[in-house]
Amino acid sequence: MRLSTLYMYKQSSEAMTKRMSQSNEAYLRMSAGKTLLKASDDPTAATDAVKHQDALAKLEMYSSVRSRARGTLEFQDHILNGVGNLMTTTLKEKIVAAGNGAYSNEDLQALGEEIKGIRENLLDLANSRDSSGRYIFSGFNTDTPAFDEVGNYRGGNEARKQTVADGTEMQTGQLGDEIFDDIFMVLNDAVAALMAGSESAGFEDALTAASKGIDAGIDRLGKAQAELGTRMQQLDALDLTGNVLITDTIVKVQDAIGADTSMLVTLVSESQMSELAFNASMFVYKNMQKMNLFNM
Amino acid sequence: MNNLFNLARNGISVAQAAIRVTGDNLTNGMSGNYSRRSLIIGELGGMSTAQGFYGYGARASGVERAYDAFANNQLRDSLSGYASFTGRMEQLADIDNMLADEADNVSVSLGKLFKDMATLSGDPADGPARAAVFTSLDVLANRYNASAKRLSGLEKSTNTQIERSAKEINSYTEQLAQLNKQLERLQGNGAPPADLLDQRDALLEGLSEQLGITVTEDQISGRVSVTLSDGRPLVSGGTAYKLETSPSDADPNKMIVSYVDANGKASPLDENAITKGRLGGLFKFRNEDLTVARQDLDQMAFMMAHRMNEQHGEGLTPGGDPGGDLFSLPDIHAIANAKNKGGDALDQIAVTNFKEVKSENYDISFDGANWVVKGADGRIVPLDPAAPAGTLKFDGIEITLPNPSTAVAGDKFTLNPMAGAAEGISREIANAQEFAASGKKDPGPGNNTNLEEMLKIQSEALIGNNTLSEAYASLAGKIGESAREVKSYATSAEGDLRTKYDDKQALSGVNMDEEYINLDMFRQYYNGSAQLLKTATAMFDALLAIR
Repeated sequence: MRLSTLYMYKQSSEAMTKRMSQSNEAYLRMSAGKTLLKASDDPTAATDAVKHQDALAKLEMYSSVRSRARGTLEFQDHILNGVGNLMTTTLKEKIVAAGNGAYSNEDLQALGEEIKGIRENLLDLANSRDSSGRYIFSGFNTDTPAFDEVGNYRGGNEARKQTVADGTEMQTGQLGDEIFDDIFMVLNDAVAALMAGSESAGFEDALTAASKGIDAGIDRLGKAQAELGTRMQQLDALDLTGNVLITDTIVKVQDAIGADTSMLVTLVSESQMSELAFNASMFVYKNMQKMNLFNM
Repeated sequence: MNNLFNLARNGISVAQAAIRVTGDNLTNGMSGNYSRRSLIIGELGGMSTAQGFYGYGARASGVERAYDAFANNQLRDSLSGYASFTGRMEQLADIDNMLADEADNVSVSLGKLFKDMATLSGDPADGPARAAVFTSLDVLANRYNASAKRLSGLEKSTNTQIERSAKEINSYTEQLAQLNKQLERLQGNGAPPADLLDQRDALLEGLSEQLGITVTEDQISGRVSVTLSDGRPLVSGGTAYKLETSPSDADPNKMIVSYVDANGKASPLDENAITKGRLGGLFKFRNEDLTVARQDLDQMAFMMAHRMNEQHGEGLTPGGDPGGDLFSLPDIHAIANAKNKGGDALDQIAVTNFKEVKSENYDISFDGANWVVKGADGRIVPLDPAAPAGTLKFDGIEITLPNPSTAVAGDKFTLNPMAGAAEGISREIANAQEFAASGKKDPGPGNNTNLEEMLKIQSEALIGNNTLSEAYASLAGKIGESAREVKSYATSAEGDLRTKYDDKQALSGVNMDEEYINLDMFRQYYNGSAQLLKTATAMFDALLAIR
């Protein structure tokens, strides 16, 4: 068969260009750090890359929601611990002491003053605000103190819920009236009774009501703190699986776009191979040039 | 003696001619369109005598052009096939590149918006978190705009390329017609001039790169007739038939190509029937790849905007107002056909149920009494009989007809209810405080119930069985698949083209070494003939020397 000289040279230069672009492709991928540069490089991987990237974004979104939710819950827990200290130790003791009949009216008045102070402390805690100044026990009415001076609940009736993982909704807010209920009213009555002295009408009743009210308050507090604990535990568990999923999904994204180490190893050897092939076609060209009757 | 001189003279002139032809080959051999030539050397005849036959020597009986009509036909066919794939691939590559960016795309911007909403849900009154959502809404709309603009840019560049291709086709056919005339004039002067034939073959190759053609060759004169794949003539004798480009009547953004017949009447080419050549590849890209990409992107923007607006309306802003539209979409309007006789405009089109709206090109026509709506596949779309008078209601949209109508029977409109959604989507709320995070029950600055409902849109099957992000992934997959397919077709077409080019070159191409050997051979031949002359002269001198 006749090999036209034009064709031979053309072939040879085309071969070299091709080899050159082959190594260029490998270099491009190496410097981009991934093999998937165009959707057509691997259409299935391109689809997967978008899907996994989206799944990853979602997982990270929930992870960030959880970390904020944990902060919120921890802050509530911290406040409730303070409430617990006031109610179980100080307040409970004083009311019991007031009822044992050993105090004079002056002592009772002093005690009344003390309990009044404790009530104010409690009210301050019930009207706690977070770092952004939002009242944390007011439900959706975050701009309103949960309780007014008298002790009436002024917050909303619904606690905030948030989706903390795919399909998992969690209550992240706590309603003030569910914890404090009528405690401020009862304490008001107790303070008034103590001020009036032990002979005043309804003295005993007021103290009994206060004692009962505090007991009920401690119960509710315990329940609320137990719930908080459970939720925080649930967050930990979700974080554990979430973090595993995030790691898995990052691997999946890297696999899809070909950014894993094995791919880079393949690319390096590919680029070396194409370099070799380029050298080979240069060698062929050099020899072809020599093979020419005009050089005789 | 006379005979010997004649022999030598013939030999020398044949050798000169042969060296000339070889020289031609050597000097033109580096041109791709040159066909190798060779001198045919024949006997000059002779004289029969009683002592036997004495030849008169050699003569040049013609210059042969190495040419095989079949090989040329095959090469042209391969060229057409290859060019159609590269033409399509060049355009497709842009979408292909755009979709593979896993770090910056519609799906990523969408994920960012949802993440910002989730953060806001932890504290719906937080100013910075609100600002983040407000910004993300804009970034997402811009992301849609940018992708859609790139596709519109591709449509424009495809139009330009189609025009250029048609122009080139016209130039080739015009030159071929001129060449046919020249060949006709020269007919009768022996073999047709080889240089004109080389030129002819080059023109035919150029033409077949742009368009799939059928070539019929007149063996004697070398003239060719060229026809389109449907049999209509492009070049017939000295006449070239033109292709004309113009905006489509049905869609002014689309450049179409028409064939102009002998009476000057232009009729649009059937784009589905033009499959070969660069033009065929461009048509295919525009009608399939680009259409798919645009419709999918528009559909995502349309469904997302409507669904988010719907949910946002269920909520309350911090100011206590119901949520307004989060996103705005461009007004829907049908494109009136340029040939319409009436002056109606169908631009009062409302979405009645966005979930039923299809991303489809409807054909709406007036038959003189009634309006008929047809789908892209030609099916009749049933109209809602319960729709108020003066409206057309179907597939989730309602068109209010102009009143009074000036439509004339035969008037046509093209409508894609989602067209332009991705390019025209924009954030509608004016500030972060217009974002309605709160539900309508128990409203308050800390109410996040509507926001939580909006977050669920992320996992909703809004587009068929796909979520918004899945729809984007599927688009990337679809385009990637087409591009991959075209790439692999182009690779095998390139191999085929190489073989066909190889075949043609094996016959018509010039090998320098071969020509060098010929040169050597004919020099020997020349020397031999010269030697003959010398001998004859010596013999003649010998006779003269006798006194």
